[in-house]
Amino acid sequence: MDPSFAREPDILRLEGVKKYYPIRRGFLQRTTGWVRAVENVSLAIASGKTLGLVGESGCGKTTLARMILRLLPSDAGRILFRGVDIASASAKEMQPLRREIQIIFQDPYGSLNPRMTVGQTIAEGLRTIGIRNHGEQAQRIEHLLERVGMPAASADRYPHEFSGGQRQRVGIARALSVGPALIVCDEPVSALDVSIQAQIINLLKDLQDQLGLSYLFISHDLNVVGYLCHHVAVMYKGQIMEYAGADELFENPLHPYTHVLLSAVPDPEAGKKSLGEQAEDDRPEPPAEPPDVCRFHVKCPETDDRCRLFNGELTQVGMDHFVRCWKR
Amino acid sequence: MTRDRSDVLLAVEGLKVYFRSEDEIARAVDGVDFEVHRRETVCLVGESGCGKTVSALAVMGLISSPPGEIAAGRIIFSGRNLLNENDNGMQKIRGRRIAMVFQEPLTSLNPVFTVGEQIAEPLRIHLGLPEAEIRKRSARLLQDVGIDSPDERLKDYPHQLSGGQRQRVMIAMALACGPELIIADEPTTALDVTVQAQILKLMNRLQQSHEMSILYITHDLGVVSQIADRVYVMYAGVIVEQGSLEQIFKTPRHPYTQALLAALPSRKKRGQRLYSIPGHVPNPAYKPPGCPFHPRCPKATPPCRGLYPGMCGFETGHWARCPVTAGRGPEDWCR
Repeated sequence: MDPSFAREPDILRLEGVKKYYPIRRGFLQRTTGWVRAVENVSLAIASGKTLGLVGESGCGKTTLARMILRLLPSDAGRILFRGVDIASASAKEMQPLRREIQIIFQDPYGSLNPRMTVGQTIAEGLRTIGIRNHGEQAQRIEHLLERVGMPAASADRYPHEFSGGQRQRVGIARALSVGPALIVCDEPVSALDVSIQAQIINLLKDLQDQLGLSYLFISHDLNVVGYLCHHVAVMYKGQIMEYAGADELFENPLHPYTHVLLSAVPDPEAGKKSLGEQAEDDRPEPPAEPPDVCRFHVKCPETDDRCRLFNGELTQVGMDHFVRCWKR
Repeated sequence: MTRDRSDVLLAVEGLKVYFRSEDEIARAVDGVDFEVHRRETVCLVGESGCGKTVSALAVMGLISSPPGEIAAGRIIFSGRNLLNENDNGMQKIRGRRIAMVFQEPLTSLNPVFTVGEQIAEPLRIHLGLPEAEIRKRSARLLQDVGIDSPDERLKDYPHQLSGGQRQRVMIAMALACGPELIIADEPTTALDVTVQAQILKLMNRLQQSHEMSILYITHDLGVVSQIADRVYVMYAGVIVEQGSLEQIFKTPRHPYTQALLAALPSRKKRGQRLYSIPGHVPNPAYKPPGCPFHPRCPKATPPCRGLYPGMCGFETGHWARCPVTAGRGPEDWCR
């Protein structure tokens, strides 16, 4: 039931990871229910590869990312980084692991400290790995900036002096400063213009080739995911609905939700007006739901009585292909 | 695709919008021509800072002066030059005959008024309807944009709605007085792909049922391919290419349009490197002489560095501001 691919060693494995938030109501703030932000998520990222995580806002992608970075404690399950469980590691055990896992954020404007020069921002990372000598810091900063395609002189400048794409490069240099093996990329290109987006995507690919980095690439843009990712996991309301190799997922999608997502993706190369088949329906749904039924049954075009009563298991249907739908 | 001139609803001709500061003039829109015909969806596409939003604001008469200034041009809307209208005249057109839908529905809707109160406003101001009629119309409008139980939703405040529903309310407000033209400025940028597709579908449907025209402003070529009949590509304050959706995406002629399409990631391009345009968009106060794209253009020739290129025709309705690609002589260079 949990997606694993034996060929490459996994750098990260998630096993039954959960995060529930209480819903509190009334004067006494009693817990009246739970929002199941992340529910029983099992996934793996192969070393040196990119796993795309797609789904709409509120589906739990970012919550999952924050648990992987241990910025947020998980409620259940194991998060194994090279076999060590991050979820249960003590603060002291966590320290060396934090260097190994870094993050790049969506908003390059909000994620850099406006009062620190680019050099100071990167030096902060260097200090945490014990590089305190100023000469050595300067040398490393220059090297990191060069690596992300920025002139060495930018070290003395402030974030506001740069464009969005340049700031995103600085964010990448900062993440690289501690020598990570896994980088969580949380929508890193969705705020950028097309031409800049292409530069950052190329940079991420180059860095992966040169440094052997693994990426967890969170995005809602399936064109970017299809271009960059080796495997793709589709998340809906806290659960993984489908997981497969990128080509397999795009060519042979099995879950009805994956169909809906793919039919909404624009295809500029087609050169004619095209819009998918999905219904014009975006009613908000109640955040808390009855226990274990299919999360997608309300909007699913194929729904029937059984979907309203039971939830499917994430089941293997092909090599490297898992789907949570009992009809498949 | 030759069209009857009487079919032209909006014609922007030679529009220049400048913003003055103490020591420089930013030429945000620098000689733009475009047309919107009746019952068609036109996309104005370009990267941030290319002048697409400023062009739209100029049509709406919303350029604040100072610092803004309409330095040249005409904006002809169903036979009248809007630039000659006074504030009073513009108020009768804005919201009634031309309506606008903005990018961020949460900031464009007033958080302290209910949806019903906000939809009622244009109906009261422009049409002067009695209150009972306004209530009936408002509910009808919400129903038109696909909102369930409209009578209850009218009592909701904006924060009680989802992002997609808020954008639907914005569209309902724009539709309120039956405008001939809707200007939509990146209305789906903040939304999920599936919700975005729903909103685009809604706009396509309304455009047909209400026989309106839509001027759609976006930086997203994916969205363009889902909604446009005709496309204008903008770069550094000028239109560099115009054509039908198919012409622009299948046979792009301007090197900038070609570069933009080559930079788009897709699954088919896996393993290939994405094309990235070298350099950056010029500062509107310090544009290069000649073709504004020449410093970044792989096909630039010596005349491109000094002479401003004219529009060159390719097929019917397909124009690009590039005499080099067109293989043209000196007659297509001007200025």
